Amino acid sequence: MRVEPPRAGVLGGQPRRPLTTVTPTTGAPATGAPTAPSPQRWEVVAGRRLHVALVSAAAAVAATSSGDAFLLAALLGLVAADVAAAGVAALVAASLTVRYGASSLGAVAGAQGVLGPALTVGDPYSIAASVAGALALAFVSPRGLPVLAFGLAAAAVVAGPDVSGPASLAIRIGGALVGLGLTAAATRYAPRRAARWVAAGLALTSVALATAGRFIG
Amino acid sequence: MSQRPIAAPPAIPWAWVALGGVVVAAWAGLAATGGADMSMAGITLTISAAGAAAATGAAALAGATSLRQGWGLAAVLAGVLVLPVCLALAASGDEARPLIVVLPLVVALGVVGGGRTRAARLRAVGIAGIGTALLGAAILAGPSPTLVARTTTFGATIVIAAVLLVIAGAGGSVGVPALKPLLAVGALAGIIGAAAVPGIGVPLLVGAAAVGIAGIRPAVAVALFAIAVASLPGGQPAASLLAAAAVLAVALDREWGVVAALPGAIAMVEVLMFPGEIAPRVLIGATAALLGVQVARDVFLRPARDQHGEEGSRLAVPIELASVPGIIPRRAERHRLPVMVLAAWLLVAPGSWTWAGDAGITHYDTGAGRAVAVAALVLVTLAGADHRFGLRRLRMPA
Repeated sequence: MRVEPPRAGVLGGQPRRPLTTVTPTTGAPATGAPTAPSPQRWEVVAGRRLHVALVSAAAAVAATSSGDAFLLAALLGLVAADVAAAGVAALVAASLTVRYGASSLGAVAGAQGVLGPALTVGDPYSIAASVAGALALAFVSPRGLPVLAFGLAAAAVVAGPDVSGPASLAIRIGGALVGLGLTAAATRYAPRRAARWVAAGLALTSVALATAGRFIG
Repeated sequence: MSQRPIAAPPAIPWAWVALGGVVVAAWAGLAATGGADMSMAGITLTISAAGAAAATGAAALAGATSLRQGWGLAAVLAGVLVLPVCLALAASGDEARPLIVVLPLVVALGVVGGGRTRAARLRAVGIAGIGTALLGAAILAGPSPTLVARTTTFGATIVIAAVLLVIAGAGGSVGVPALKPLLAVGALAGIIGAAAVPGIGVPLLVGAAAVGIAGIRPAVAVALFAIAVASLPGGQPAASLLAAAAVLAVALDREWGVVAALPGAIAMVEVLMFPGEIAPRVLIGATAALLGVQVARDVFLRPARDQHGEEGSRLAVPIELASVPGIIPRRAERHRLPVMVLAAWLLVAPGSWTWAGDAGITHYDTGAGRAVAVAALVLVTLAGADHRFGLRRLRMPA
């Protein structure tokens, strides 16, 4: 009796795989002595689910500009599983705090909603600080799913007004799309090691410019 | 530090877990409702919200101690039932003499009740004994026996005593476990004392930085940092939240417990934004950054070594859950459940910890709540999707 192979793809596509559970990949060695102790199966599954959940949580906080900038920085660091990424995000949060006088993302969004996007309003130092902060987040993002959270966070820094009407909604959506595209491009084309150093430099520059904007500009 | 092996504690009966949980919940409830006036035998006692919170910390620390026999049991009972009452009274600005009577008793019972080594016991007796004696002297030398910093000398003495008690309490989990509640006493006394001595923040910051760099016990660094922040104008709420995080981290006996200091650190940022002298703020900010990096390096999740290896999935993501040792308490550690609940509460809704004062972080609650809700929703959805996939695969012929 001929039996159709299970879910081999109706049109010859890839076999369907679950979202996060562990399945052997095609072409991988079936058995063999592992070179290093591998985590337990449930830990792999739980780690994957946890990561997707963290990315979603960070993206939700960034997209809705709710909560605190340092909380978002901590979430981004967890998403990247990288202390350097957390440090860069924390510096960007510090830059926002210096510019707006508060670390509340709601306050940042409210100010952008009333005054205009951070990219277009303010003295040159402050504008440059926002741009540098957004670029720092884009460059420090790891590849893959985390691009979603980092891109939305970058967008919230430069063009994340409180949504109070069609215009602000359009700015918000446009900013999010640009932020996601920029972050995806940065993770794809920039060498990772160099990108991390660039991001650190941009984040420090952002803090310095925000401070200059507060006291000079 | 995160690789420190955790010794398997003895299983604790549910009755003890329930006792500790009920006491902690009662004090936490009192703190959440803003304190209360209690009348007993014609005497009216006023328990403030901050006093109830301090009592919650002491009870949580004692309840999370896995000593359940002999003198150790007596020390734990004193820590769960007696010490919180005395601490709450002292913290509420009432009579502090019961506290200086009970403290030596707790120290003595704890040291007799058990310690890792003889040297650890001797060290604990020395540090905790001097701290207790200094605190008692500072309280008794004043015009009224209360724990209120009136002068610089008084405040400095209290802060020194507090630092010693913090060291004795935070080190208790590895030396003499029954001394953990001293951390709550030390943190409270330090916050009260530091408010009267603005200049004491610098040595405390240096101490916190040294402890943080040494990477011995992050909770000690956070507690010292909290006392230093209390010396800033308007720093009391942030200091209280930071101290609460240190207490919960020690009660959890997990290094990653100090992540509960995040709300306190954010509240500290708000304090640093107040107009005022620049130098102490820069110093505090720099120390906070240093401690943050140290803590993050120790407690952060690590990326998986091989994302594209044998095990694949559509959303191959790079977190190795095994890098967080003991993230979930084992069955034998169920006595830590009340502390876990408190830590989660602090991390998600610190704005509701009104006993700490107006920390200016109510906006934090919105974002944290949203993040938790979204994460939980995604976890449930993923688990459901994978479960359905598994069922479908089972039904298909091989």
